[in-house]
Amino acid sequence: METMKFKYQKQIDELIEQGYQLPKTYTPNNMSACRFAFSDSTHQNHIPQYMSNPKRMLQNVTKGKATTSLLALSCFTTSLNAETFYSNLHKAFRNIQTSIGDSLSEGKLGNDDGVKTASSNNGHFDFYEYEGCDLNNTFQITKNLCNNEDIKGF
Amino acid sequence: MKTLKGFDIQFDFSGFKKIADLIYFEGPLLSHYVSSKGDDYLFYWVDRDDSDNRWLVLRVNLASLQRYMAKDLSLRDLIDGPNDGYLYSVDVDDDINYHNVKLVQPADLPEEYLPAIDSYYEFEPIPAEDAAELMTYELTIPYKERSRFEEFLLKIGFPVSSIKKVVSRAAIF
Repeated sequence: METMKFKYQKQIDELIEQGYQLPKTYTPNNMSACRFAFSDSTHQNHIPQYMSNPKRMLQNVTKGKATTSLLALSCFTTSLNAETFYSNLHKAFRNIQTSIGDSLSEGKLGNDDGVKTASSNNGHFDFYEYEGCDLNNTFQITKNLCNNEDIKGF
Repeated sequence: MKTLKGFDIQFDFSGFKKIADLIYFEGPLLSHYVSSKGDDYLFYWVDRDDSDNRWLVLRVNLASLQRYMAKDLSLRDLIDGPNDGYLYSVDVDDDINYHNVKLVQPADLPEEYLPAIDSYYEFEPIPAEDAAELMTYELTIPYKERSRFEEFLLKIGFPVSSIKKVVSRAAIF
């Protein structure tokens, strides 16, 4: 069986060389998933933190506090989980949309797309993309999370 | 980013050490630090632009922090009532340089820098990897407070096996 390469294999290898490890992962089996995204076209969506800010990876390696998690995409198992988490974040940080996006995007994760970590209690998991995966082609923005009066909560 | 009303000052954050990220999503958003003097501080993310992230830094007491994590106080309560009556605003660039430090009064903060009235704690804390060691050697607490301190450590996610050691070394009579 051919071994699948990760989309950011080079960066993952660099971290592994430094002693970091990938977490235990599972096949997604075409599961539905949600992510936060930017609705405006000036932002790129579905880019891991270390890829959108490579300096951050270097700094974290220097401090001995790097993680492969920031080469993965943050996802939630259900829209309810994602909206609940976003609502709580938005209550604490009213500018949060400038950092993680203002919208919910939804799509399916196939076994050719990558592998996922175990989901935490709030439904969050990390998704490690395989080479060739691009969620921009499969995920669609379904809801603006900042125009929802229920979410604002003020 | 917003221009803040406040006093430009110099403040040395280099002695601050992280105890835990209280709110984290793809990076820290609210973190608990201790200063070299043993004071507790919160770093609260409020804004960003292409080059900087802006944080509000406020001194808090452990009892208030514990009440926040027990959902008895909201984050808004903490921001509205910092121990010193004021807080610091600091911009941190991609190279982790701290600049544009200001002393700011809570009443002068723009609306979007204030948490909602019902911003109660709904997250899971992530203790810093070296926090147990740090607290063992650098913190002291009144002996009568040790039970509450144990509860607090448990709440912020300290391993149960470390808590007794941390508290017994930190407690003073």
